[in-house]
Amino acid sequence: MAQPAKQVDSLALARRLVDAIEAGDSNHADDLIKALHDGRFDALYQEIGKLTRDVHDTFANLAGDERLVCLAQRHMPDARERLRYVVEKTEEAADRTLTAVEHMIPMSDKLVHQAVALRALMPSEGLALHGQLHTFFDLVEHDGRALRNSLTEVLMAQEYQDLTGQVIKRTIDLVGQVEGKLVELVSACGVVSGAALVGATPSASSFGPAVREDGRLADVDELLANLGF
Amino acid sequence: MDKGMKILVVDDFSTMRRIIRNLLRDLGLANADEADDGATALPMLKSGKYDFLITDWNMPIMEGIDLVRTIRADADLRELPILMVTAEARREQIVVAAEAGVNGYIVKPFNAQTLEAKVAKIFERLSAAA
Repeated sequence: MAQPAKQVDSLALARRLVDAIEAGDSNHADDLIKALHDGRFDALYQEIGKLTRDVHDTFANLAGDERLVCLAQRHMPDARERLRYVVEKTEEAADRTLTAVEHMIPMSDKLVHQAVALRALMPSEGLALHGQLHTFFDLVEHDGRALRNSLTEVLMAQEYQDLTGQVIKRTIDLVGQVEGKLVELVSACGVVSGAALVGATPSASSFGPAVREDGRLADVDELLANLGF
Repeated sequence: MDKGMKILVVDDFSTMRRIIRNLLRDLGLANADEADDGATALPMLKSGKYDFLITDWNMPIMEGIDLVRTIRADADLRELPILMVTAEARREQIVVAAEAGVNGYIVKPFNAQTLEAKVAKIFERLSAAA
Protein backbone atom coordinates (compact mmCIF):
# COMPACT_ATOMS: atom_id res chain seq x y z
CA MET A 1 0.00 0.00 0.00
CA ALA A 2 1.43 3.39 -1.00
CA GLN A 3 2.27 5.72 1.87
CA PRO A 4 0.76 9.23 1.86
CA ALA A 5 3.14 12.00 0.77
CA LYS A 6 3.16 13.67 4.21
CA GLN A 7 4.09 10.41 5.89
CA VAL A 8 6.96 9.89 3.37
CA ASP A 9 8.20 13.44 4.12
CA SER A 10 8.06 12.78 7.86
CA LEU A 11 9.89 9.46 7.42
CA ALA A 12 12.64 11.11 5.35
CA LEU A 13 12.99 13.86 7.95
CA ALA A 14 13.16 11.28 10.75
CA ARG A 15 15.90 9.33 8.94
CA ARG A 16 17.89 12.49 8.43
CA LEU A 17 17.38 13.28 12.13
CA VAL A 18 18.83 9.89 13.10
CA ASP A 19 21.77 10.50 10.75
CA ALA A 20 22.34 13.98 12.21
CA ILE A 21 22.26 12.65 15.82
CA GLU A 22 24.61 9.81 14.91
CA ALA A 23 26.94 12.32 13.24
CA GLY A 24 26.78 14.49 16.37
CA ASP A 25 25.44 17.45 14.36
CA SER A 26 23.16 18.83 17.08
CA ASN A 27 22.34 22.09 15.24
CA HIS A 28 21.07 20.20 12.22
CA ALA A 29 19.20 17.75 14.49
CA ASP A 30 17.42 20.69 16.18
CA ASP A 31 16.41 22.07 12.80
CA LEU A 32 15.05 18.68 11.75
CA ILE A 33 13.07 18.30 15.00
CA LYS A 34 11.54 21.75 14.39
CA ALA A 35 10.71 20.83 10.78
CA LEU A 36 8.96 17.59 11.93
CA HIS A 37 7.04 19.50 14.61
CA ASP A 38 5.98 22.30 12.23
CA GLY A 39 4.90 19.79 9.61
CA ARG A 40 2.49 18.18 12.08
CA PHE A 41 0.96 21.49 13.11
CA ASP A 42 0.69 22.71 9.52
CA ALA A 43 -1.52 19.71 8.78
CA LEU A 44 -3.63 20.46 11.88
CA TYR A 45 -4.02 24.14 10.95
CA GLN A 46 -4.98 23.14 7.43
CA GLU A 47 -7.69 20.82 8.78
CA ILE A 48 -9.02 23.52 11.12
CA GLY A 49 -9.03 25.97 8.24
CA LYS A 50 -10.97 23.53 6.07
CA LEU A 51 -13.52 22.87 8.82
CA THR A 52 -13.94 26.61 9.39
CA ARG A 53 -14.55 27.09 5.68
CA ASP A 54 -17.11 24.23 5.67
CA VAL A 55 -18.95 25.70 8.66
CA HIS A 56 -18.91 29.13 7.08
CA ASP A 57 -20.21 27.77 3.76
CA THR A 58 -22.92 25.75 5.51
CA PHE A 59 -24.18 28.82 7.35
CA ALA A 60 -23.93 30.91 4.19
CA ASN A 61 -26.03 28.33 2.34
CA LEU A 62 -28.44 28.21 5.26
CA ALA A 63 -28.73 31.97 5.14
CA GLY A 64 -29.66 31.78 1.46
CA ASP A 65 -32.17 28.96 1.95
CA GLU A 66 -35.68 30.35 1.87
CA ARG A 67 -37.11 26.91 2.59
CA LEU A 68 -35.67 27.01 6.08
CA VAL A 69 -37.23 30.39 6.78
CA CYS A 70 -40.50 29.12 5.39
CA LEU A 71 -40.28 25.96 7.48
CA ALA A 72 -39.60 27.85 10.69
CA GLN A 73 -42.09 30.63 10.20
CA ARG A 74 -44.90 29.07 8.25
CA HIS A 75 -44.93 25.28 7.99
CA MET A 76 -44.15 24.48 11.61
CA PRO A 77 -46.75 26.87 13.08
CA ASP A 78 -49.15 25.43 10.49
CA ALA A 79 -48.32 21.88 11.64
CA ARG A 80 -49.07 22.87 15.24
CA GLU A 81 -52.33 24.45 14.16
CA ARG A 82 -53.31 21.26 12.33
CA LEU A 83 -52.55 19.11 15.36
CA ARG A 84 -54.63 21.42 17.55
CA TYR A 85 -57.41 21.00 15.02
CA VAL A 86 -57.20 17.21 15.41
CA VAL A 87 -57.52 17.56 19.20
CA GLU A 88 -60.49 19.90 18.80
CA LYS A 89 -62.29 17.72 16.26
CA THR A 90 -61.79 14.48 18.18
CA GLU A 91 -63.01 16.21 21.34
CA GLU A 92 -66.11 17.44 19.52
CA ALA A 93 -66.79 13.97 18.09
CA ALA A 94 -66.30 12.32 21.49
CA ASP A 95 -68.62 14.89 23.10
CA ARG A 96 -71.31 14.28 20.49
CA THR A 97 -71.01 10.54 21.00
CA LEU A 98 -71.22 10.96 24.78
CA THR A 99 -74.30 13.18 24.46
CA ALA A 100 -76.00 10.53 22.31
CA VAL A 101 -75.01 7.75 24.72
CA GLU A 102 -76.22 9.74 27.74
CA HIS A 103 -79.52 10.19 25.92
CA MET A 104 -79.87 6.46 25.14
CA ILE A 105 -78.85 4.96 28.49
CA PRO A 106 -81.98 6.13 30.40
CA MET A 107 -84.12 4.99 27.43
CA SER A 108 -82.76 1.45 27.58
CA ASP A 109 -83.07 1.44 31.40
CA LYS A 110 -86.68 2.55 31.15
CA LEU A 111 -87.55 -0.15 28.63
CA VAL A 112 -86.17 -2.87 30.90
CA HIS A 113 -87.81 -1.47 34.04
CA GLN A 114 -91.18 -1.17 32.34
CA ALA A 115 -90.98 -4.70 30.95
CA VAL A 116 -90.18 -6.06 34.41
CA ALA A 117 -93.01 -4.04 36.01
CA LEU A 118 -95.53 -5.06 33.36
CA ARG A 119 -94.65 -8.73 33.59
CA ALA A 120 -95.27 -8.56 37.36
CA LEU A 121 -98.75 -7.20 36.71
CA MET A 122 -99.66 -9.94 34.23
CA PRO A 123 -102.27 -12.48 35.40
CA SER A 124 -100.76 -15.92 35.57
CA GLU A 125 -103.26 -17.36 33.10
CA GLY A 126 -106.28 -16.65 30.95
CA LEU A 127 -104.66 -13.86 29.01
CA ALA A 128 -104.65 -14.00 25.22
CA LEU A 129 -101.14 -14.15 23.74
CA HIS A 130 -99.80 -15.10 27.19
CA GLY A 131 -96.82 -17.05 25.83
CA GLN A 132 -95.97 -14.43 23.24
CA LEU A 133 -96.05 -11.68 25.84
CA HIS A 134 -93.63 -13.57 28.08
CA THR A 135 -91.33 -14.14 25.14
CA PHE A 136 -91.51 -10.43 24.34
CA PHE A 137 -90.71 -9.42 27.94
CA ASP A 138 -87.79 -11.86 27.93
CA LEU A 139 -86.52 -10.25 24.77
CA VAL A 140 -86.88 -6.69 26.10
CA GLU A 141 -85.15 -7.57 29.37
CA HIS A 142 -82.34 -9.54 27.75
CA ASP A 143 -81.67 -7.21 24.81
CA GLY A 144 -82.26 -4.13 26.95
CA ARG A 145 -79.45 -5.21 29.27
CA ALA A 146 -77.21 -6.11 26.32
CA LEU A 147 -77.94 -2.69 24.83
CA ARG A 148 -77.02 -1.07 28.14
CA ASN A 149 -73.68 -2.91 28.22
CA SER A 150 -72.92 -1.95 24.64
CA LEU A 151 -73.71 1.69 25.41
CA THR A 152 -71.26 1.57 28.33
CA GLU A 153 -68.73 0.14 25.89
CA VAL A 154 -69.31 3.05 23.50
CA LEU A 155 -68.95 5.43 26.45
CA MET A 156 -65.64 3.88 27.50
CA ALA A 157 -64.31 3.89 23.93
CA GLN A 158 -64.41 7.71 23.97
CA GLU A 159 -61.46 7.49 26.31
CA TYR A 160 -59.32 7.51 23.14
CA GLN A 161 -59.86 11.27 22.96
CA ASP A 162 -58.06 11.84 26.26
CA LEU A 163 -55.22 9.43 25.46
CA THR A 164 -54.59 10.57 21.87
CA GLY A 165 -55.16 14.18 22.91
CA GLN A 166 -52.37 13.93 25.50
CA VAL A 167 -49.98 12.47 22.92
CA ILE A 168 -50.86 15.13 20.34
CA LYS A 169 -50.50 17.95 22.89
CA ARG A 170 -47.01 16.71 23.75
CA THR A 171 -46.18 16.58 20.03
CA ILE A 172 -47.42 20.16 19.62
CA ASP A 173 -45.07 21.22 22.44
CA LEU A 174 -42.18 19.39 20.79
CA VAL A 175 -42.82 20.96 17.39
CA GLY A 176 -43.01 24.33 19.15
CA GLN A 177 -39.62 23.79 20.76
CA VAL A 178 -37.96 22.71 17.48
CA GLU A 179 -39.60 25.66 15.76
CA GLY A 180 -38.19 28.04 18.41
CA LYS A 181 -34.68 26.67 17.92
CA LEU A 182 -35.01 26.91 14.14
CA VAL A 183 -36.15 30.52 14.39
CA GLU A 184 -33.09 31.24 16.58
CA LEU A 185 -30.85 29.56 14.01
CA VAL A 186 -32.38 31.45 11.13
CA SER A 187 -32.06 34.73 13.07
CA ALA A 188 -28.43 33.89 13.92
CA CYS A 189 -27.76 33.47 10.18
CA GLY A 190 -29.30 36.91 9.69
CA VAL A 191 -31.63 36.07 6.86
CA VAL A 192 -35.14 36.74 7.99
CA SER A 193 -36.25 38.85 5.12
CA GLY A 194 -39.86 39.73 4.44
CA ALA A 195 -39.23 39.29 0.72
CA ALA A 196 -38.15 35.68 1.22
CA LEU A 197 -41.33 34.96 3.16
CA VAL A 198 -43.68 36.61 0.72
CA GLY A 199 -42.15 34.69 -2.17
CA ALA A 200 -42.20 31.34 -0.39
CA THR A 201 -45.19 29.07 -0.91
CA PRO A 202 -45.98 25.71 0.73
CA SER A 203 -44.76 22.84 -1.42
CA ALA A 204 -47.82 20.63 -0.86
CA SER A 205 -50.40 20.55 -3.62
CA SER A 206 -53.22 19.65 -1.24
CA PHE A 207 -53.90 21.33 2.07
CA GLY A 208 -56.17 18.92 3.95
CA PRO A 209 -59.12 20.06 6.05
CA ALA A 210 -59.40 23.75 6.85
CA VAL A 211 -58.11 23.92 10.38
CA ARG A 212 -58.91 27.53 11.14
CA GLU A 213 -62.66 27.39 10.88
CA ASP A 214 -63.46 30.96 11.82
CA GLY A 215 -61.28 32.25 8.98
CA ARG A 216 -61.16 29.91 6.02
CA LEU A 217 -64.55 28.22 6.40
CA ALA A 218 -66.31 31.57 6.72
CA ASP A 219 -64.61 32.52 3.45
CA VAL A 220 -65.87 29.30 1.88
CA ASP A 221 -69.42 29.98 3.08
CA GLU A 222 -69.25 33.47 1.63
CA LEU A 223 -67.90 32.12 -1.63
CA LEU A 224 -70.66 29.50 -1.89
CA ALA A 225 -73.29 32.15 -1.14
CA ASN A 226 -71.81 34.41 -3.79
CA LEU A 227 -71.98 31.57 -6.27
CA GLY A 228 -75.64 31.01 -5.40
CA PHE A 229 -75.08 27.53 -3.88
CA MET B 1 -70.25 3.33 50.92
CA ASP B 2 -72.72 6.22 51.07
CA LYS B 3 -74.34 6.50 47.63
CA GLY B 4 -75.16 10.13 48.29
CA MET B 5 -71.55 11.12 48.88
CA LYS B 6 -70.27 14.24 47.13
CA ILE B 7 -67.55 13.54 44.56
CA LEU B 8 -65.22 15.85 42.63
CA VAL B 9 -63.88 14.60 39.27
CA VAL B 10 -60.74 16.47 38.11
CA ASP B 11 -59.38 16.02 34.57
CA ASP B 12 -58.32 18.51 31.89
CA PHE B 13 -60.17 16.50 29.19
CA SER B 14 -63.93 17.05 29.35
CA THR B 15 -64.47 13.70 27.61
CA MET B 16 -62.81 11.84 30.46
CA ARG B 17 -64.74 13.81 33.10
CA ARG B 18 -68.00 12.86 31.38
CA ILE B 19 -67.00 9.20 31.09
CA ILE B 20 -66.12 9.00 34.79
CA ARG B 21 -69.32 10.77 35.85
CA ASN B 22 -71.41 8.41 33.74
CA LEU B 23 -69.67 5.39 35.21
CA LEU B 24 -70.18 6.76 38.73
CA ARG B 25 -73.86 7.27 37.95
CA ASP B 26 -74.05 3.60 36.92
CA LEU B 27 -72.66 2.75 40.35
CA GLY B 28 -75.42 4.83 41.94
CA LEU B 29 -73.05 7.70 42.71
CA ALA B 30 -74.83 10.62 41.07
CA ASN B 31 -73.65 13.52 43.25
CA ALA B 32 -70.54 14.55 41.31
CA ASP B 33 -68.99 17.84 40.22
CA GLU B 34 -66.15 18.54 37.79
CA ALA B 35 -62.97 20.62 37.69
CA ASP B 36 -60.40 20.85 34.89
CA ASP B 37 -57.19 21.04 36.92
CA GLY B 38 -55.79 21.12 40.45
CA ALA B 39 -55.88 24.90 40.72
CA THR B 40 -59.62 24.95 39.97
CA ALA B 41 -60.29 21.91 42.15
CA LEU B 42 -58.58 23.17 45.30
CA PRO B 43 -60.93 26.09 46.14
CA MET B 44 -63.92 23.83 45.33
CA LEU B 45 -62.60 21.20 47.74
CA LYS B 46 -61.99 23.82 50.46
CA SER B 47 -65.49 25.25 50.30
CA GLY B 48 -67.52 22.29 49.03
CA LYS B 49 -67.35 19.55 51.70
CA TYR B 50 -66.51 16.77 49.23
CA ASP B 51 -66.38 13.14 50.36
CA PHE B 52 -64.28 11.70 47.53
CA LEU B 53 -61.83 12.98 44.91
CA ILE B 54 -61.06 11.35 41.56
CA THR B 55 -58.16 13.11 39.82
CA ASP B 56 -55.97 12.85 36.74
CA TRP B 57 -52.19 13.38 37.08
CA ASN B 58 -51.09 15.27 33.98
CA MET B 59 -52.98 18.58 33.88
CA PRO B 60 -51.98 22.19 33.15
CA ILE B 61 -51.37 24.80 35.91
CA MET B 62 -51.63 22.41 38.85
CA GLU B 63 -50.93 18.71 38.30
CA GLY B 64 -52.87 15.99 40.09
CA ILE B 65 -49.87 14.89 42.12
CA ASP B 66 -49.43 18.44 43.49
CA LEU B 67 -53.15 18.55 44.28
CA VAL B 68 -52.78 15.31 46.26
CA ARG B 69 -49.77 16.68 48.20
CA THR B 70 -51.58 19.94 48.92
CA ILE B 71 -54.63 18.06 50.20
CA ARG B 72 -52.56 15.78 52.42
CA ALA B 73 -50.82 18.84 53.91
CA ASP B 74 -54.10 20.64 54.60
CA ALA B 75 -55.57 20.19 58.08
CA ASP B 76 -59.17 20.29 56.82
CA LEU B 77 -58.72 18.13 53.72
CA ARG B 78 -56.08 15.59 54.72
CA GLU B 79 -58.60 12.76 55.33
CA LEU B 80 -60.23 13.07 51.89
CA PRO B 81 -60.17 9.73 49.99
CA ILE B 82 -58.41 10.13 46.63
CA LEU B 83 -58.45 7.93 43.54
CA MET B 84 -55.95 8.82 40.83
CA VAL B 85 -57.00 7.94 37.25
CA THR B 86 -54.14 8.58 34.87
CA ALA B 87 -52.26 7.46 31.75
CA GLU B 88 -49.00 7.67 33.73
CA ALA B 89 -48.17 3.98 33.98
CA ARG B 90 -44.51 3.86 35.01
CA ARG B 91 -43.77 1.99 38.16
CA GLU B 92 -41.86 4.86 39.77
CA GLN B 93 -44.79 7.22 39.16
CA ILE B 94 -47.18 4.85 40.88
CA VAL B 95 -44.76 4.76 43.81
CA VAL B 96 -44.61 8.58 43.87
CA ALA B 97 -48.43 8.72 43.89
CA ALA B 98 -48.61 6.21 46.72
CA GLU B 99 -46.06 8.22 48.71
CA ALA B 100 -48.05 11.40 48.08
CA GLY B 101 -51.00 9.65 49.71
CA VAL B 102 -53.48 8.46 47.07
CA ASN B 103 -55.93 5.77 48.21
CA GLY B 104 -56.21 4.14 44.78
CA TYR B 105 -54.64 4.32 41.31
CA ILE B 106 -56.13 3.42 37.93
CA VAL B 107 -54.11 3.41 34.71
CA LYS B 108 -55.91 4.64 31.58
CA PRO B 109 -57.26 3.03 29.48
CA PHE B 110 -59.51 1.36 32.02
CA ASN B 111 -62.99 -0.14 32.10
CA ALA B 112 -66.17 0.23 34.13
CA GLN B 113 -65.42 -2.87 36.21
CA THR B 114 -62.02 -1.54 37.22
CA LEU B 115 -63.49 1.74 38.41
CA GLU B 116 -66.22 -0.07 40.36
CA ALA B 117 -63.70 -2.42 41.98
CA LYS B 118 -61.23 0.33 42.94
CA VAL B 119 -63.90 2.64 44.38
CA ALA B 120 -65.38 -0.25 46.37
CA LYS B 121 -61.93 -1.24 47.65
CA ILE B 122 -61.11 2.30 48.83
CA PHE B 123 -64.31 2.54 50.87
CA GLU B 124 -64.05 -0.99 52.23
CA ARG B 125 -60.55 -0.21 53.51
CA LEU B 126 -61.66 3.10 54.99
CA SER B 127 -64.59 1.54 56.84
CA ALA B 128 -62.36 -1.29 58.11
CA ALA B 129 -59.86 1.25 59.41
CA ALA B 130 -62.54 3.38 61.09
